[in-house]
Amino acid sequence: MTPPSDPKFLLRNVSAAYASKPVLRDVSLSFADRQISAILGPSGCGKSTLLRCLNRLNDRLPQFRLSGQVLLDGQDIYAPDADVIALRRRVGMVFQKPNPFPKSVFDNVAYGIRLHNLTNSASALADAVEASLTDAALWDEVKDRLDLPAQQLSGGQQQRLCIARALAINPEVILLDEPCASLDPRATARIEELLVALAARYCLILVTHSLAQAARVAAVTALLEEGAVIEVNNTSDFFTNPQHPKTQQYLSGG
Amino acid sequence: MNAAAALTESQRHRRRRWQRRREGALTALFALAASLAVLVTLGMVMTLFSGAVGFLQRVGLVDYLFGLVWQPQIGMRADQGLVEGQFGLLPLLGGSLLITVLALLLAVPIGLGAAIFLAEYATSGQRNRLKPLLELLAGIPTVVYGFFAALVVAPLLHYLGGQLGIAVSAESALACGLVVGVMIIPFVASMADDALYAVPQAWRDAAIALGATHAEMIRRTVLPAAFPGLVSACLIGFSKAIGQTMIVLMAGSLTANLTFNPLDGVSSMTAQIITLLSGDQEFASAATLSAFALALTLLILALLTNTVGVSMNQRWRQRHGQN
Amino acid sequence: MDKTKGNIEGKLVSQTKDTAMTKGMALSARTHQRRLRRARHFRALTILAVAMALALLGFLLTSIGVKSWEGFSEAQVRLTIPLNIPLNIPLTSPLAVPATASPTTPSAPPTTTADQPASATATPGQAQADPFALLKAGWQQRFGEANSSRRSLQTIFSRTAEEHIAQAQSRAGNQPAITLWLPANQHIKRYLNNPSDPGLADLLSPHQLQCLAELQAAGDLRRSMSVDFWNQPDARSPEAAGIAGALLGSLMTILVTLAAALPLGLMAALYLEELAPRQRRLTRAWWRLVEVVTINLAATPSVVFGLLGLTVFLHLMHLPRSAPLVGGLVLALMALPLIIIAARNAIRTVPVEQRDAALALGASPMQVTLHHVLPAAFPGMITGAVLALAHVLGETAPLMLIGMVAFIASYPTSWLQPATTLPIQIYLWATSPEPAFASKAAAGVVVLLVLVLSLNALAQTARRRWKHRW
Repeated sequence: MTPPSDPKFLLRNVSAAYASKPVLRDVSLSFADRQISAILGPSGCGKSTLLRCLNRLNDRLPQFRLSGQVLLDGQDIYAPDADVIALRRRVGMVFQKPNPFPKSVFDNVAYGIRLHNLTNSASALADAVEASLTDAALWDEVKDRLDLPAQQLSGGQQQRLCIARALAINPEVILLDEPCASLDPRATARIEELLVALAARYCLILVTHSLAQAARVAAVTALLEEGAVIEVNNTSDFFTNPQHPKTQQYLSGG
Repeated sequence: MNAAAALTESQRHRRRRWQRRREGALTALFALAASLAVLVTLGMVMTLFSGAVGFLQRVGLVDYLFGLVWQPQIGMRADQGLVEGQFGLLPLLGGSLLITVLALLLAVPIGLGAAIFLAEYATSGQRNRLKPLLELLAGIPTVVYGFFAALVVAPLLHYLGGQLGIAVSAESALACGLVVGVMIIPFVASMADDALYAVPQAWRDAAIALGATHAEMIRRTVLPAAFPGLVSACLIGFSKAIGQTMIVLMAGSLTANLTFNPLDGVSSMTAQIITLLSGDQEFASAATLSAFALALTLLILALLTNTVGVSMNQRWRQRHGQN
Repeated sequence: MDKTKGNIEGKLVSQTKDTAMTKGMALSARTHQRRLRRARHFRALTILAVAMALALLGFLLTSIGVKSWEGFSEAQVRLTIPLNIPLNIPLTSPLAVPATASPTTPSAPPTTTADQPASATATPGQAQADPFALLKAGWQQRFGEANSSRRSLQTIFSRTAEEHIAQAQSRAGNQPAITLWLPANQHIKRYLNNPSDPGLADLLSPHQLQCLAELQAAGDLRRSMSVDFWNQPDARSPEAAGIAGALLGSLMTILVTLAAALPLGLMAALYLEELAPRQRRLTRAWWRLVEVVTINLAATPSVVFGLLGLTVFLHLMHLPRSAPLVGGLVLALMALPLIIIAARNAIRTVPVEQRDAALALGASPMQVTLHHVLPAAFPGMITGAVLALAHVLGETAPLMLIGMVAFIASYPTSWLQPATTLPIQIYLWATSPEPAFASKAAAGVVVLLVLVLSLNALAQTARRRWKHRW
């Protein structure tokens, strides 16, 4: 059900500028469902901007301009009649720094469910929270302390809580903006394990600066430099047989 | 998700629409509140302008701006035959400026000195104790300073003058100026301290590494770097000093004298506004309307200096990449 | 920044000495000494500045504190008040006439009000007796008939003495007599300061002075903290004037300010920071204008707000003069920009990640604002609001322009009745020709300072505690 011809997300000639300073230049990319696609690139190359274009999180930046098309299941999410809120329900996001709300573990996960009126019974809400936490491999660690303020969890736990929070509203796509950048190797390993497991059900788009991470988890890898796509390929080919000289240079640490 | 508990799509849709409408109304309310400041300003400008225009129609701009005598005759009743007085701005402007200059003469050295001490010499313990004290000082109401000026400083100066054989008015500009100075010391010190504190530590290190003494480092590196911030601190001090009312009202003279002698009594624009308008009076008389002209003059002066001060500070901060 | 301080001079000495000696450079020891001396002088100058600032502050507070003692204290006379006086003796009759109506002489006919003695004889209990009659009886028991007219007793006692007696009367039950320390007239305070004050001869008769000497010898004359200062409104005579009316007026005014300025200020700040659309050039320009205008309003001299209030509230809207409602609204206009600026600063401390997280979950900008920004910034906003209120609580000039300078000897009972506020009460007392009011003003200043500065200190402590939340 995931032929490359039917991608979940499709970007066509997307260019973006902030205060007339170009950030993305003519990006055309597709992201398939039920797999992890990784976007690599040096810092400041526009990978985060690219990711934030996919759930229109850049909308509120003053002086931000975007041209081109971003299609989710074939529908332009920047169309004048597109519903941003509905879009963000379908496209969840996990950020670089774990950013749980200053609320309890339970309320963090329940936030999105309540926000979208997904349920109106307390028991259904509790079930949904438990399911999300289980999917995020956090349930066993927090099931006895759901009332604990989320900020008291460890960094890795906080990040998994943020994943659970994103999962709770049943998204189709999950955007991951360097989710392991602020975590130690052990916590990173757990998150990567979790991502691989989630790839069976969601379209995951992972921005990372770690070559090793992309090589470990991604099915497809793209390299972005100065806002332009340099190369896209299957991860194994990308790393073993890079086509573009810039990719070779990037992979060799230049 | 539990199917029985889940809301149907149409229910959710209805809730969303209701919520959007509520949010739209709330957003409009918020926007209205935010725009209120413009409304207030507009009201203020219109109030002052209409009063001032009415006044200038009677008195004339030249007579107002360059007149040397301020003597509004306030007729108590209409049948007294309103004697139109003389409305020359200069004595009041002179009084305001004299008091302000005296205040700055006291506040600038002390304020800047204290700021240099706080930013450059004080240990963090001293800083943590002095800085809140400074902020606390800035919170003392002006009527307290007015009391201090009228019942402590002015009589004291009068007495000292008598002892030394110098004629010091019991309502001397000096007393007002000194107390206004005391009032603005915390403002000047606090803003100057911010300016000094914002100078990058690396510049200090560089100067010290070149063998400068601490004082030379401050004088040659920190002070020039912070100069626009320091000037802006003084300008904002000026703006505060010229706009204050109670000290001159309580300790100054009620009649406006055109003098540059700090030992004489002077009045100020602010004090005259109160004198002209407190109590019942005929609203359309020249004396009443003159208060609006005075207020407009005062507003222009105060906002001009404040704007220059603030924008200097902002530009300087932007240049240093701080916010 | 503090880390290198203090030891720099010391380090420099050794460093430069070493280089000068080893390299033999032309850095003469004398120039070097001069530089170090200058450095020390410079430092001393800054310390002098701090010392002068502190000395000026000390002078301010001490002089006010010393003056305020007179205002907080009063002279008191101890008198035994009989509660079982036979009221049919024509003692009370002339005295039932209010003093303000006509100053009665002791020889006035005992027929002015007929029903009072009658009712008093009907109930020989104490409850109905006129307090002034009791005071008079007490005085007469001790000093005889002379100088016991209302007028001459008023030169000894404060007007509020009658209230004290009435209160004691209701507490006393069936006791035959009570002994009270009664507040005395301000002349008695002068007497206590200097019994041979020549000015007193004009105010008190020789017999009264003799009585005072007798009281003092018996230990029945003292100086003590005044209760009336705390629970009386303003009055014509300094000994009866209190601060309670002004405190109540200030409270009412500031409540109006709070109710008007706080919600508006918070909404405005939230809108400007979170919701204002900034994509188009025109909207960006408009909200930039709002910002500039707000900053300028915060720097506008307070007296200009008074003019605005006078024109808009009194002349256009015909609201009553001197009312707490109008005063509160004028102060709200002043407090609004201060609250907006402080609240915006508080909002800026909320990390952008929190907003991103909520937005990414599909929250609307308004939901982000209300669910996340408002709770996180609320402590900072409230701190700013308290500082703004403390600031306008001490404002005087704008309130004077809307007529709040009138002498008001009663408590304000509604938002539209004339009232006075604490700073204005201070102004009125401080500018009164009667010198005894000056010390009242000093006491008022102390009350105002304690109020304003404790609000300030509270807000600052809170701000420091909440600062490191993120």
